[in-house]
Amino acid sequence: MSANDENDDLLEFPAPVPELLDAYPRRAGAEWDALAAGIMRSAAPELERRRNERGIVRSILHLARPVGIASAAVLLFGGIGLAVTSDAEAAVTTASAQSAPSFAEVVDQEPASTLLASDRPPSANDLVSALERDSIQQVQP
Amino acid sequence: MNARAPAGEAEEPSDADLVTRAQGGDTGAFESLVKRHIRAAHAVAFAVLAEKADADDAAQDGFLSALRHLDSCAPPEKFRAWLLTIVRNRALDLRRRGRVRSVETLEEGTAQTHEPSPLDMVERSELNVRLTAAIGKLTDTQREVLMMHDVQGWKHADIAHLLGLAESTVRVHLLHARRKLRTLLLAVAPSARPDEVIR
Repeated sequence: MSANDENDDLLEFPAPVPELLDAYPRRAGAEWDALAAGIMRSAAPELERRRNERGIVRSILHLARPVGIASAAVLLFGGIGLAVTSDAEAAVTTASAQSAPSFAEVVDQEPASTLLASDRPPSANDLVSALERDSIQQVQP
Repeated sequence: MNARAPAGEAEEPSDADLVTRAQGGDTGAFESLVKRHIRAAHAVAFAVLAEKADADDAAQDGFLSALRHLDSCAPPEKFRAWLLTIVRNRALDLRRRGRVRSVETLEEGTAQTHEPSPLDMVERSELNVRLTAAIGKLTDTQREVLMMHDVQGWKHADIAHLLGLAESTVRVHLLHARRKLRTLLLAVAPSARPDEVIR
């Protein structure tokens, strides 16, 4: 049974071969540092490329920031303007709908009431006189 | 296999922080990652290649490949596992392509706890030759599991995670590797008593 796992004996493990412990090359700290230094020397170009790439991206973002802010402002104010305009149009539409007379009111007034009482279809003269009267009513306050 | 900084060094930046900084080309951050994980990377490469200089090459290639593809390390806190997988694949690739150096004895770089006598050195050298030959006859997975567990002291769970195997499968590989190694060592030294070959 080895020290790093306690349950090996459950499977009737043969003991580790002791000489294997000497198989892995031991290194002094300085040797590891030398290996790390070799890796860092080889990694230098890639690290420099990454720094430059990050610098370019940062520059683009720096230049793009005022443009982005301006675009956002245009979109914001445009949206607000659109919303206000839509509200105004909706208000006008509602007001027109409220001022329009109903069918019952129309047939109670001249000349529709006269035509209904005489039980005859309207002539061209009736229509012209009705339109003239209607236009005079709209002009009057 | 612990991906975090050792206890008591909480002020040290995490792997995730270092990876983020290294992605922007921060030399110091990448150097910290290298120094933090170089031993584990080398151990993984050595488990595959069983040769010190080849393991150096594989570990170095693995770190450079990791740097080139650092943007694909997600999530960055998994850097260690991601790096070790890259190093292992690089080592396997080297092994497959036969670029490993000629097999040397394990005597080179062997830890010496005391000054050996000439007789000790001869016996050790002969044993190392046999051991190297026997290790070479294990399957790739058996050798990796054996080296990581018995030589480098990794736990089954960590080996299983790295190799993408179930923990129980790792145990079975280890069991077979140890049995096979003992059998091979006995076979190459028929005149020796087993306890002389394997203490």
